[in-house]
Amino acid sequence: MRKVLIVDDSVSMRQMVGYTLRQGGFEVIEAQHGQDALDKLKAGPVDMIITDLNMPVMDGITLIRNVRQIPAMKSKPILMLTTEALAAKKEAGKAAGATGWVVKPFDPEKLLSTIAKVLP
Amino acid sequence: MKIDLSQFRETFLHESADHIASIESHLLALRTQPGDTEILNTIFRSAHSIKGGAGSFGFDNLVRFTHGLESLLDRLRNAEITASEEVIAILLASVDVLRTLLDPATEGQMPANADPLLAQMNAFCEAETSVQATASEPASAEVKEAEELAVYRVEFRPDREIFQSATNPIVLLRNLADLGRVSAVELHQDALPPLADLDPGQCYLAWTVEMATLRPVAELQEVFEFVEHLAEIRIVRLDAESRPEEGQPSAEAVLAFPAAAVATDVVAATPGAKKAASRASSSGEASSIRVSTDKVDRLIDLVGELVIAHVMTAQMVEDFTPECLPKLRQAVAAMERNTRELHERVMAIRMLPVGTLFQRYVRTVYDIGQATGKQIRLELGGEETEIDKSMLEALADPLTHLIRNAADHGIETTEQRIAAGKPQEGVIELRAFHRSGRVILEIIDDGAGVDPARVRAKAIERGLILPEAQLSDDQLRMMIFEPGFSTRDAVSEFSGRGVGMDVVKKNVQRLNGVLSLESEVGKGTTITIELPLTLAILEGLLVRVADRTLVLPLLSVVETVSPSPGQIQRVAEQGEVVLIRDQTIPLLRLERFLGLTERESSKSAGRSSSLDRLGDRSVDEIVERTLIVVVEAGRKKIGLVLDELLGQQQVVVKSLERHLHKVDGIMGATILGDGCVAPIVDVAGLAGMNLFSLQAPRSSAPSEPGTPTTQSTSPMGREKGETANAMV
Repeated sequence: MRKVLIVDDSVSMRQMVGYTLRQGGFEVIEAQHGQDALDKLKAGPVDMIITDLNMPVMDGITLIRNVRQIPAMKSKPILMLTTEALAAKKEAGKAAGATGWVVKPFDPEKLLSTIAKVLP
Repeated sequence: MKIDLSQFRETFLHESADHIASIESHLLALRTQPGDTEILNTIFRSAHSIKGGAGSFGFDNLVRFTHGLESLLDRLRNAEITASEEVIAILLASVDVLRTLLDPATEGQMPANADPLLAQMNAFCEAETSVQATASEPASAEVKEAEELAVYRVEFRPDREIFQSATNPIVLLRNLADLGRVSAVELHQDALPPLADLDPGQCYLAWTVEMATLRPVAELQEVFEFVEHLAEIRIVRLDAESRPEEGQPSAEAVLAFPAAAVATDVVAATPGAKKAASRASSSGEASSIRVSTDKVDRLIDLVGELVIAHVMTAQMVEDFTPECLPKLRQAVAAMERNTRELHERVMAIRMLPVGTLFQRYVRTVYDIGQATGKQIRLELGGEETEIDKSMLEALADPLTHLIRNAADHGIETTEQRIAAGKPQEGVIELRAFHRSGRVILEIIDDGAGVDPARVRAKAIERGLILPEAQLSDDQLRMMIFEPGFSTRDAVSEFSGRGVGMDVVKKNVQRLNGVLSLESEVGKGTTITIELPLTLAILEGLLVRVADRTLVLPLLSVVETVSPSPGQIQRVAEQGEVVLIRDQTIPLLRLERFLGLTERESSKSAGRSSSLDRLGDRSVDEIVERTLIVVVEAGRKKIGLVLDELLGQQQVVVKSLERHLHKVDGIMGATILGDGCVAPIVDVAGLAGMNLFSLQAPRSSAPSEPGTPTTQSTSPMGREKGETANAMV
């Protein structure tokens, strides 16, 4: 089963994304913020990361930048999950190495189809 | 597949309540540290999280409102505007709006002040609004287009760097192919270098795809949504002219990317549809509790151990031989250990830090400060102190009253404080801590203090005491907790008419707590609430009184004394006391207090003959056969006269009030290992009574053998409120 790491400081958001992904047949790992996600990745790579941008301790952009430094994670898709439809944020994410984005509030079916769009 | 997210609504509501509380306390902190970016970021994140979740559950108004709020916060965060008192006041009012919008009772209706607030917020950040207006234009017209077969040529030239974003061009091509029938694919490999020069981290290839599809062109564009900055993409319709109304009908028309349209499409797709479903699940407001996973994990471990211990024990019982006995004992002991720990851990689940409750009062004090023009600061301490959840909830109202009272009546006006040579700013301290297994809450103010003379005058005026009543200053001060008492003529918006303080006392007592007050005129007041950690379980000292087993809360036991002759003395007209190390402690004979004496006399003649005449007999008779257990509640000690100590045991407290009416002196009952019911003595309740006055009728009118002694001394027979009157 393919493993997805969900990074969000909001419990309800993690639950919603997690539930959607499990329904979609993925194994889910959760992290509360960027640093937590990096710690979780020490146990081994995942097939994809879905991350919030605005988080305490370590924000999503910094996380993406850091993840791209991990050899095993270089070619794994990363989706930004964000309320910020702001172009500037998107650009920053893209520059850091994000593969794509999903806008909150997300539609579960749309989230799964977006994942299908980036996951080999 | 339909994925329903409404089940997470409860979590969202909880989380949002936390966010709102956090916004509120951080806003208040911002007053002293304006421009603190960490605080501003935290506030922004909270507002942002609320907005992020709100859309998923149909809180459309909440989304709209938080959007406005967020814009203002963003301005603050970027230091484009400063957090003036005016801005903070607007933001605090917004916090109230957020609460209302999330309250299931309001069904997400905008409160009346919401739109004016939004307008105020927008006034602070004009520019933001116009951007929002354009962004929220629905872009569906474009998406809906075309149910006709069209042929496109799609040119896809990824940048060399496209792999950096973990984009797989093959996946994109596959997704594209899924949208229709591909008639031709051309691979452009002209950029491919010789193998020696090839960097596998770069993409040298490009593709041109020709395909026929029924889908609108927007869907084709959407395939490349994430790579528009990482590739050159041209989509050209080949088979026909674009329809005339699109304008510029050129066969080679390159369709521009409506990037914004794609994003807004997603935004628009969700909220409305979800509304009905999420509403439906909102009605039942179940009481829930959030528990850290560590606590749950340990519980699961323990249950595992318990199951193993049980299996082992069962096995031994199955193949039992006398030699097994020591092992069986061991196994049972292990089970007992597990059970006890499990018990404690389960109880710990109900324990919550008081901080969440304390935080609200920062706002309470701020509001009173704003309304009265007083400068008041609330200082919190011991916020991490844990207390049973049900107690925490039951404490909310009493603490509100006490804090309001301190802010409104306790702290003087700025002028008065200056005149008294005090710092202009009044300080109220609210702290919690554990002391010998109990939770202590203190509300300390540096205000005017409670003046016993004024209390006395008021109490006489209100007819609560007689003008000639002899009361100590402490007793007088406690009068403020009597029903119908108020020291203030002016009725204030916050503290009401002195209704409340008596309710505070009642509520604290209902929690088996003790309320005490210390005050010095001109210096301030300290109100202390002492509470058991939990209502559900306590460490008990089992004692025998006559033929009954009673439980004393072990925490209130100070010492046990076998009195020697002369140690017990009778105070004229009042009752008995015991002298312990020069301290005089009033005595209470539980046997009589609980009305067991008479019953005993008919049962065992030998013992009762002396008991029934105890009232007018030499006190030495008690000495022969009794023990005194000294218990303490608040700052008051009582010596309880009883017959025997039986042991120490954890007991589960069962309420009696569901079955009997409130029995003074008894806080509940427990079921012992042998199935017997044992009442638990309410030490705090006893300490609150005037023992001498309870004893008085006994010593002046000794009962005859056979007369029902329960009438005057048994708590069962007494009227409510008598204890309060006894003071006067």
